[in-house]
Amino acid sequence: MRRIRPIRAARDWFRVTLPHPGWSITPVLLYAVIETINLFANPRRAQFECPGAGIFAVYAVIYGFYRVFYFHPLYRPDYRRWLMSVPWSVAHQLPLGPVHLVLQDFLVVGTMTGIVMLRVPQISPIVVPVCFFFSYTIGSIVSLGMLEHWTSAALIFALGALVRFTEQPWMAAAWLGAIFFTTLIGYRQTMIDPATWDDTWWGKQGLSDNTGRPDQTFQERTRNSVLGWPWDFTSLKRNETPVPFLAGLIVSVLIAWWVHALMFHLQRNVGVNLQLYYIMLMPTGIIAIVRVGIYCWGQLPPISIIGRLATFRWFIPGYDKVFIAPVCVLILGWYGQYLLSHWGLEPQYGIPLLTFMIFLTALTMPPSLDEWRFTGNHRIANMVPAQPTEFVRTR
Amino acid sequence: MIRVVNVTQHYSIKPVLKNINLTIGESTRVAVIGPNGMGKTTLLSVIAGVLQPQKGYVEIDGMKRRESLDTELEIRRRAVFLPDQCWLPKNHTGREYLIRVGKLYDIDSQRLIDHADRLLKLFNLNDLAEAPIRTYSAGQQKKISLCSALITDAPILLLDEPFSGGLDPAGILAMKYLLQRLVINQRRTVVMTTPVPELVQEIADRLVVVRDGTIVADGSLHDLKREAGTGSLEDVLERVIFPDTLENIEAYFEAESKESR
Repeated sequence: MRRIRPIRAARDWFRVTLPHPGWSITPVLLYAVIETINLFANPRRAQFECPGAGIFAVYAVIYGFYRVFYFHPLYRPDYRRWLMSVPWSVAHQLPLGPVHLVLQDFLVVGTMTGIVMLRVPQISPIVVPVCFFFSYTIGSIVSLGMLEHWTSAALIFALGALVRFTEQPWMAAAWLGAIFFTTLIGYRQTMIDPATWDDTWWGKQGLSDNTGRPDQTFQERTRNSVLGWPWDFTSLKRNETPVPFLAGLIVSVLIAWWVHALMFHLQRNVGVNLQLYYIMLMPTGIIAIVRVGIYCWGQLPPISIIGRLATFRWFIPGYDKVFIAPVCVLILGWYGQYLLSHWGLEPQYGIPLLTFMIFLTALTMPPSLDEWRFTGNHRIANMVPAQPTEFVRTR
Repeated sequence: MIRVVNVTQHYSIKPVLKNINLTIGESTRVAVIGPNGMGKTTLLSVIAGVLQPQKGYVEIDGMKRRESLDTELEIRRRAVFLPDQCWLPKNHTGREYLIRVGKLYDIDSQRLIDHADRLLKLFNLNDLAEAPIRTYSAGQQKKISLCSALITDAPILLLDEPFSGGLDPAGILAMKYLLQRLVINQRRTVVMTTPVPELVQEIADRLVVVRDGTIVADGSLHDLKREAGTGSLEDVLERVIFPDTLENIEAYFEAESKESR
C-alpha cells in the first residue's frame, strides 16, 4: 500500500489541471495506435521517426483552450454563484483548479514536446509549446476582453510583439514573460470581485448570470432582445455596442500592430514579400461596405435616385453624410499607398500605418451610430422579412 | 401638442404630401381619413419620425423631430408609433413581448406586469398570454400589436389603421372605448388613420381629410357636416372625401351600356 501512495499523490497532483481521463488518455492511445501502425507499415523508418506524433501539437492547442474555458468561472455561472456565496477570495486557489499556468502545465507540455522532438525530428521543437501558449493566450484574451479588462488589449499587443520578435530569442523570451505576468495580473484583478462581471457588456447579455435565472441561455437572451418592427427601430432602444474614440483608437493600433508583426514575420522568416497595392484593395472595400451596411440597414434614403435626379437634389447632406467615412476609407486604402510609397516608406511600415488610419476612420468617424439613427435625414424601414405564422390554435 | 409645419414629402418625383400644416392639441382623438394612396400613412409617418420630410418639420411638445439625439429620445418617449403591420417576434409569448416593449420605455416592472395582465384581459388574449405569437391568428396578432403600443404609457399614440387587420368586433369595441377613456381620463392624444370612415364618428373628435397630398377638410364631424351642407355622415363622405366616386360609377356604367349597344 505504501508503494502506491507516491503514484496516487502524483496522479492527484496532475489531476488538478488535466482534463477528464477520457480526454487525457485518448491522445496517448491514438499516438500508440499510430506508432504501432507506423512500426508495421514502415519498419525501417520506425526506428527514427513517426509523423503521427504530430497529434500532440493538435492536442496542445486543445489543452491551451481547455485550461482557460474549463477552469474560468466566467463560463460556469453555477460555479461563479457558488464562489460568491462562500468565503473564497482571490488569495486562495480556485477550488476547481487554477486558470493561470502552473507547474503541471509545463510538465504536460514538456512531455508532449519531448515525444514530438524524438519521434518527428523534422518538426521544430518549439511547435508544441507555441501551439499551447498561443491557444492559452487567445483564450485569456477572450476571457479578459469579455470582462473588459485592460490586460486583454495588452495581451493582444504582447502576442503581436512575440510574433514580431521571434527571430530575436531574448526579445521573444522577454515578451513571453510579459504575456505570462500580464495574464496573471489580469486573472488576479478580475477575480477580486466576480459580482462586477455583471456590469460588463457580456454580463448584461446574461453570460455571467448570477441572478438565479439559469433557465435562460445566452442564445435565448439574444433571441429575446429582438422586438421587430417598429420597436427595434423607433423606440428608445440605443446601440448596445457604441465605439468610444479611445476604444476605436486602441482597436486600430492593435490591428495595425498585428499587421506589422505578421508582415515582418512573413518577410523575414518565411520569405514572402507582400505588395502594398494588392493587400489593401480588398480589405478596405470590405470595411467600407460593412460600415455602410451597418449604418444603412433600416435607414434608407429619403427619396429615390430618380427622385434625386429629377428634383436636382443630387446631394442630400443629412443623408449623404453617412457615406463620408466609407469614402475616406476607400481613398485611404486605394490612394494612400501612392503617397506612402512616394515618401519612400517601406510596405511593412506603410501598410500598418494605412491600416491604423483606415480602422480609426471606420470606427470613430462621425456620425456615431446612435446620432445617425436618431437624427439622420433617412427613411426608417422594416428590413426584417416576415416570419411564417404557424396555424396552430392553442384553444 | 403636435405641430406639422409646411411639410412636403415625396419618395420619387410625385409629391405625396404638399405643404401640409396641422396643429393637434393634447387630449384629443384625431382621425386622418381619405382615399387609398393619398398620403394618410405618409402624414402619420412624418409625425412619427419614420420619414424625414423634404420640406418643413414636425414639432412634438415644442421639440423639433430629429434635431438632436436628446430631443429625439424625449420625443420618442412621449410619442409612439404603431404601423398597420408590425413585425412580431413570433417565438416570444404575448406576455413576454409586452413586457419587453415596456422595458424599452423604462417602465417600472410591477406596473408593467400588472398593465400587461390587464391589457391581455381587455383584448381577450389572457388564454394565449403564455403561447408563442406564431400561434396567434391575424386578428390576435393585431391585438397584441395594439397592446404593445398601449403598454408604453406614451402620452401621444400614433396609430396607423388600428381598426383594420382582422380585429374582431370585441376588439374594435375594446379599442374604441379604451381610446376614448385614455383621452378623457388621462389626457392622452391619439392620432390614427383609417380607411373605414364609417367608424369615425365613434372613434374621433376631429377629422383630418387628406386627398391628393393636401388637407381638404379639418374639423369635428359636426363642422364637416355643416361644411358639406348635409346632416348625414354618408353625404359628408361622398362630398368631402370621395367626391368623384358617384361620377366614376356613372362613367363606368355608361361605357358598359355603350359597349353592349
